[in-house]
Amino acid sequence: MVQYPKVFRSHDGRAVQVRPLAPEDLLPLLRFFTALPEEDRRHLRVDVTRRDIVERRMSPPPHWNALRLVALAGERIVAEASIEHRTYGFESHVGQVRLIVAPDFRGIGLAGYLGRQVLAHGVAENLAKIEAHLMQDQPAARRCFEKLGFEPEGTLAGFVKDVKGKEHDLLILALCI
Amino acid sequence: MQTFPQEVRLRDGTTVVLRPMQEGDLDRSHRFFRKLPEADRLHLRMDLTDRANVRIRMEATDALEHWRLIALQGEEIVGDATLHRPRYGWMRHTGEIRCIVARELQGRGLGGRLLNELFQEATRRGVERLRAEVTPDETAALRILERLGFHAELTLRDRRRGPDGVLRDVIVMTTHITQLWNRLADLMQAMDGEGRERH
Repeated sequence: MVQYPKVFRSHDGRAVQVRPLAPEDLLPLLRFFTALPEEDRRHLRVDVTRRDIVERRMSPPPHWNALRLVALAGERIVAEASIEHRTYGFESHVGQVRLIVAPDFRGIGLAGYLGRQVLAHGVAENLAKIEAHLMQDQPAARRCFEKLGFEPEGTLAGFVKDVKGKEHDLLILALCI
Repeated sequence: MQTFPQEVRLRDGTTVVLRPMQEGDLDRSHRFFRKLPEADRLHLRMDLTDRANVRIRMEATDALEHWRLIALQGEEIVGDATLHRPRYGWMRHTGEIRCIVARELQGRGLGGRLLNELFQEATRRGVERLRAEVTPDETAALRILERLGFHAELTLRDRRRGPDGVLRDVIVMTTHITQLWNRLADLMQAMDGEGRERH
């Protein structure tokens, strides 16, 4: 069993504490989301500036297993990573990964570190396959997942709409364990 | 606007009643899934011979996101159709359809009728893009969806592990709602044409 909190140290000397999301993280989490550049928020699957949505997503839906990690610099949340999967049914071997990092904490290896943490959880949960769903036009995120071993499975044209109502292609990346 | 319950006469004269699934349908639904041949049950998302799973299916899903329609013959369910449309998020303009018909009622137009109800509900809910998932061995379902203008857009490897433990790929078939209605209009016209020739 993995012990948290853990500390991630970047090569430029920054230390970030990594631990599972806790109920009292709601406000820092909302601050993290609203501080993201609009361009980044456009790529997220829900409108994270809405408190009701973020609050509802603090705990996994019934019959889902989820690990949600937050990375903290002091009191500030600077990244969030999660993996979730159903605990019942014929798709309970498939997990889905999400990863969001604040702009000033990118390029220091934090995304990769968090990605490996949630993948390790997926392995421990005996998942056979892990997916990441992105918009087609997120090259940086795609590179990050490809570095973790994900491969593209294909796209669904127009299957995602950003907060402004513009359609994008959904790209599915997968890692078979 | 259609109201339910609705009595429907199938091609061979059999009548069934369509209505949305209700809370009291748990045992009925469980019986329906238990009676399905094993080969058909492999195409479901979970083992629905297990009553606990039937309950999860009925309760653990957001009622506003799932619209479930059943076909009844007497007291028994003979068809089960679902439209899933996320309430929030980046896929809120999309809907997923699923449809299962009891073996003894297949080939009488019930599946087509249920699908049509799903398409109408999807249109009412503002769904713009539709998807359906099939495994490669579901050739009949593939053919029906292709006839309706759906196309295979993506294959998800090893996406399902059935009760036999085997991992199966899933083919994601998609269409746009406008294309779908155009396609249905074309099919209707073609059927009218055939009808006239026969007279």
